[in-house]
Amino acid sequence: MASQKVGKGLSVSSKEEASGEFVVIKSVEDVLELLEKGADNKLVIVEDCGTTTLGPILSKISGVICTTGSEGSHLAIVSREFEIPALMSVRFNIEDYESLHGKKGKIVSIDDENGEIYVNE
Amino acid sequence: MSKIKVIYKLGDLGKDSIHAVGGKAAHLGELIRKKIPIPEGFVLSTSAFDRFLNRSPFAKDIRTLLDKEIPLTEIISTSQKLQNYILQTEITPDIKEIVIQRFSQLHSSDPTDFGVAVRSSANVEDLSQTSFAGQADTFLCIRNTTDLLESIKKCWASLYSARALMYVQQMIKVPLNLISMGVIIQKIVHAEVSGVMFTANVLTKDRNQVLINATCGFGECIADGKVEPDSIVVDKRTLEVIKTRVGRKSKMSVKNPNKDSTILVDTPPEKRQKLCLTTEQIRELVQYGIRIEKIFHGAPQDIEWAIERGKIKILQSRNITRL
Repeated sequence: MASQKVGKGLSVSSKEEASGEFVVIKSVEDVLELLEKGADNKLVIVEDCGTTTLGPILSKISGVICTTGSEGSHLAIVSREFEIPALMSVRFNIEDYESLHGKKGKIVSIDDENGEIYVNE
Repeated sequence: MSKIKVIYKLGDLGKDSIHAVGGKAAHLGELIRKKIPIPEGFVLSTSAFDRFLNRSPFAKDIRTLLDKEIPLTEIISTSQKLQNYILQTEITPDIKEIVIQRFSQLHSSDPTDFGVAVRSSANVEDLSQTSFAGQADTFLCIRNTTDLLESIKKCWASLYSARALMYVQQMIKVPLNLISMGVIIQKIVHAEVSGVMFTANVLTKDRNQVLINATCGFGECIADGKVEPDSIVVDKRTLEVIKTRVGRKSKMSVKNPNKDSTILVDTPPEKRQKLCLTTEQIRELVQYGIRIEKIFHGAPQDIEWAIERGKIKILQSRNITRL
């Protein structure tokens, strides 16, 4: 399947690849909604990696994408606890990353430090 | 009413004090015993929190809410109720008195004194393989007793934030009425540079490497993810720097000149373009990391640190939960 690179960031987990459906999360309410609907195989996109609001769904989702942060961010720490791939300080090369919501794609580590995000076309 | 111990000096605590004061404070006490430089401070015990709850005019309502599992659909409303109960409860006079007395010994009214930090120390950190990282709130640069008492209540209340309640129920899986929290009150470090150090490379799982995140100013913005810090990998055996990445560090956290809090300001351009630690400082930091790891029987550590007038201070150390 053809895919397009839409962003890159710091890879902060030892797990290398994940695919699924992108979901943009902005609040505790969004987390609760996802818990109810089912969080399996979701690639979650968040802006705030200080609070670990994602805690309850981390065991289910397939990957984390955060627009801020680094290896030492709280979200990076808990993502590693659950051994799921996480990219921090992500820069998107598309204008509006929220348009990824509902689309399918993947995140891939390209080396020890960096990872890339792809959306299926 | 049986006599309870409300306050402990950090230096009087050790690894076995988790039940009395929570994980973070117990670890700090252990480090002080082993001569690691830790900022001076004291901790309000978990019993002090339990007494505060028991003597609240809302004690019954609080117990009723904590005694059963909260359905997901009610997490947010229950959290708001619990937090309101706490914020509306007066701290009992005996606790208030001793807190104010200890605070006055710790803090001088000198304007160059940055005040104290108020930080959570939950007892759940030890109950499972989870870190509880980023669940409860920290307050920095507190300089008067009114703000101090308010911050203590807010810190307690953060134990029942919606995200913390979800975390405890879904991840730690212990009944809510078993969780409690110590509150650490500690002298603020005038941080020129600060950050996080993992005594194992958490990215590659290599235990022979140390991974450091460093940035200018106060370090809470690293855990909060508000800055992209420098990243440094060091060989633990030779203390050689293996890899460095200069982070963007576009913002730094400093004392707010107009308020008793911290504020994010633009980092001066000359500081952004180079590593904020010297090779000498990196080596010294890693040596502390190795010592601290030994103190905790070789368990790799996640350490928060800061540098004040060229001297390294250790702010926190916890086990890396999965490696």
